[in-house]
This record gives sequence, structure tokens and C-alpha cells, in this order.
Amino acid sequence: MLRKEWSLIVYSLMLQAAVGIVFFLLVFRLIFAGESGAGQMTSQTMNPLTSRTMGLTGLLILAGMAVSVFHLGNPFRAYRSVTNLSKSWLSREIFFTSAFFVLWAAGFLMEKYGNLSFLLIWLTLGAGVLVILSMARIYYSTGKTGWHSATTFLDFFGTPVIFGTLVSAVMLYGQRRTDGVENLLIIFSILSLFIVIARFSMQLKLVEKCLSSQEEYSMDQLVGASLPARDIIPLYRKMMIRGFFCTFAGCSLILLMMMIRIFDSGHLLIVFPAVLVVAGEISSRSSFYLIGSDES
Amino acid sequence: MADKRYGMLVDMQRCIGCHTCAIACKQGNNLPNDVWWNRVLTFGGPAMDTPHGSFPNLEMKYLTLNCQHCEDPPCVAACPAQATYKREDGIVMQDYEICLGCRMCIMACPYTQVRSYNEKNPEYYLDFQVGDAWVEKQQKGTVTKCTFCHNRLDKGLQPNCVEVCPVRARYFGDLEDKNSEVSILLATRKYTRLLENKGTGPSVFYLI
Repeated sequence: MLRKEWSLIVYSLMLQAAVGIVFFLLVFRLIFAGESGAGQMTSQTMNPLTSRTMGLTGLLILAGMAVSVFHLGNPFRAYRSVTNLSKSWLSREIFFTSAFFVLWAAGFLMEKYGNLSFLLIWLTLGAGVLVILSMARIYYSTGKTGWHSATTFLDFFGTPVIFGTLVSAVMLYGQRRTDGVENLLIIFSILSLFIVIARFSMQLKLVEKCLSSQEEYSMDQLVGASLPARDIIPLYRKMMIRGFFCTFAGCSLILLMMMIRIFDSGHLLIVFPAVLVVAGEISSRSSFYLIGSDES
Repeated sequence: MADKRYGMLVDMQRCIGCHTCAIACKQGNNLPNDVWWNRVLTFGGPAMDTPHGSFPNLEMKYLTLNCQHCEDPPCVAACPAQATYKREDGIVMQDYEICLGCRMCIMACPYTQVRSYNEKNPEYYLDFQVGDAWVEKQQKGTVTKCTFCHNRLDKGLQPNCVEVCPVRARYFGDLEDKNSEVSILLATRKYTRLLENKGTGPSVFYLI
């Protein structure tokens, strides 16, 4: 089943990572802009975060958009996908993704010429939030048991925080940082851990719900597409557990590295939490697409 | 209110699960290998012809399933390209020339496997068309589903599945016309619709 969905897994993770990065960019600017004057991003703390993350954001959006085309049976008709904005959440998602990209491009150019404004980052983040909201609504509104729950929103809005924390930690790795930046990363690492735990407990409840619904055999169940096929559940459970442990371990490692301040030494050390978080999120997102499938 | 609203009735007391409707649909619409618009399900389980209940109290109970041509079809709302649309007579159609192959309609549909996705170029066991000459050509990368044989309706004919049913378990007609056979049957017989709780208002009724 996941053979057909790989492009959606990659696309959703890339876009959510991009939104997470923009969110962190804004948070860092809001909190630390005072260091070098409001609206300016020229301090030693901010520079690496701004220039590198802006580049990475664009790369993620572009790559995500390119990969998403592989999901279509007729990629050359993709231009028609925004013709049902009034009703279709997929149309809206594609529209907001394009807006997100355009705003990022404007921000990238402005940043290059040294006058990236708060307003533009706010607008970019707003478009990004709408992308994620549309994404979540697409799946939520299908009414499938595995998707029609708050878990979908927690998953889609939690991933940007997790990836945002990771990218900020990676970007600031080996850089000279103030205590404020470090403390902020510690707070977001703890928040990421909370998200991972909350998501896992909700996923466990979802499994219970799917299993208990399948005990009753009815005409509606015979024709309904809302429940996952019975043989999918053990695989789902395996993937979500794997996802939980990897992301949890990755976020814990980031937190640990921040707390014991070993960020300035051993450059390769950051690779471990990064690999764990990315692998964990891929596994978790794959399980999301799996539980919505009624094909065995 | 529209002049016409087509609907289909399936008499579950009469259906013998012979699969003639499914075959006639596949043949008449020249559907590629592995693509079915019409399925015959059994209550006992997913395998074909599985009895329902436990020994010695077993019974064979069939349920035919095709697109329900809902009054408020979630697939139409979900389609980003407006390739899935509803005609004035209530038939939900799929435009193969516009379809992106995003499969949102499949995801949004509350009924299982009423749509098929032509992942590769349509392949046929025979190298010539066996069905009606006027049916639309299936295309790679598009979603396909029951059309209530709209081409046959335009010629004053009944859908394939209705015409061939050997036990006359299927009826088709205008639900807005109070004198039509379908309206009379609905007024006189008990019926149910599938997944009523979803609020989609299916146009396929099951006489029980």
C-alpha cells in the first residue's frame, strides 16, 4: 500500500519541516532581535540561523513540491488542481503551498539584500500554517477511523515543532551561542518530547478504536471504507512504535546535548539525533498513511 | 428541483449472487483487467460466496455494490480538478480527460472499492473491444467508476446490470417521477441505504 504513498510521505514531511523552520526563524527573531536592533538580523547569533535556514526552507519546499507530482497519475494536468478552491481541501493545500513558496522567495531575496522584515516572515508562516491546516483537513474530512481524529492535527502540527527544533539545533551546532538561545532550544526539545508522547498515546487509542469497531460485523462494515483492513493493524502498530522510539530518542539526545553543553565539541555527534528524528518521523508518517488504507 | 433524478433499487430477497451484473458491467463498459465497477459481496467474509452465521445456522446473503451516486457526493467536493462532477439527473461522473489521478475521490468516498485506479495502461484479455462501442476509453493514471451506464440511458436503454439480471433483482428509473417503477417500489416495500449515517444520500436503495 505504501508503495503508492511514498511521495505523499516525503512531501508532507518536507513541507512541515519547512514550516517548522520558518516558525523557529520568527521565534528567534522576535526574542533576540533586540540584540542588534529591531528588524535587523545581523548579530552573530542570528546570522547563521537566518541565511542557512532560509536557503534550506526553499530547498525543502521546492523538493517537496517536485516529489508530490509523483503521486499524480497525470502530472501534466497538475495545473488543474487549483480549480476547486471553494470545496476541495487538496485544491486549497496546493494553493497555499504555492503562496508559501512565493512568500519564501520574496523573503529570500529581501534577506539577501539585508532588509528581511518581520511582516514577511509572519506572512510566510501564516501561509505555512494554512498549508498544514489544509493537509490535515484533507485526511480528517475523509471520515476514515484512522484519520478522523485529533491525532491527525497533532501529528501534522507537531512535526514542524520537532523538525524546527532539530534544524535549529543543527544550524547552531558549533556556533557561538548565548544562554538565551540554548535555553530556548531546551524548552523546544522538551515540547517536542511532549508532542511525541502525546502522539504515541493517541495512536495507541486509535488502534484500540479500530480493533473494537471490527468486532461488530454489520452491513455498514461490509461496504464501509472507514476502517483499516484487519491485517494492517499489526504493521501499523510496529511502525508507530518504531517511529515513537526513534523520534523520542532523537529529541532526548538533543535535549541532553543542550543540557550538558557538548554542542561545541565533536561535530559529528549531532548526526545521531538528526538521523533518529528523521527516521522516526518517516516511520510515524508511514504508519499514518497505512492506517487510512482499507486495502489489505 | 431537477426534472430527473436517477436511482437504482436492488432487491436483496431476490439476488442469488450469480455475478451476472458484475460481468455484464465489466463487459459492456469494456473495463480493463482487474477493474470492476460492480461487485457482489457476501456477508460471511471477504472471500467469494462465504456463508454468513455459524454451523448449522448458515445462510448465503449477497450485497451488490457499485457507486452510490450520492445526492451530496463527498468525492465531488474532494476532487481538486473538478474531474468528478454531478450531472443534473443525479449521476456522478468522472471526466477522464481532466482527472489528475490524485485519488482524492477514492479517499473521500465512504464506500469501499467502488472506484478503481488505472495505475498502468489499460490491459485486456482480448485484443478487441467486447463492450458497447460508445463507452469512453479507459486511460492510464485516472480513476474510474460506475456511470449508471449513462451512454445507454441517453439511448433510452437500461444500465447493463439491470438489463441482464436473471432474477430481476435490479430496478432503475427516475426517483422524481412518482409513477415510475422505482418510486412505486420504494413506496410499497421496506428498503435501506448503505451508510445512511454518513449523510451522503445514496441513490441506490436496497429492498429488504
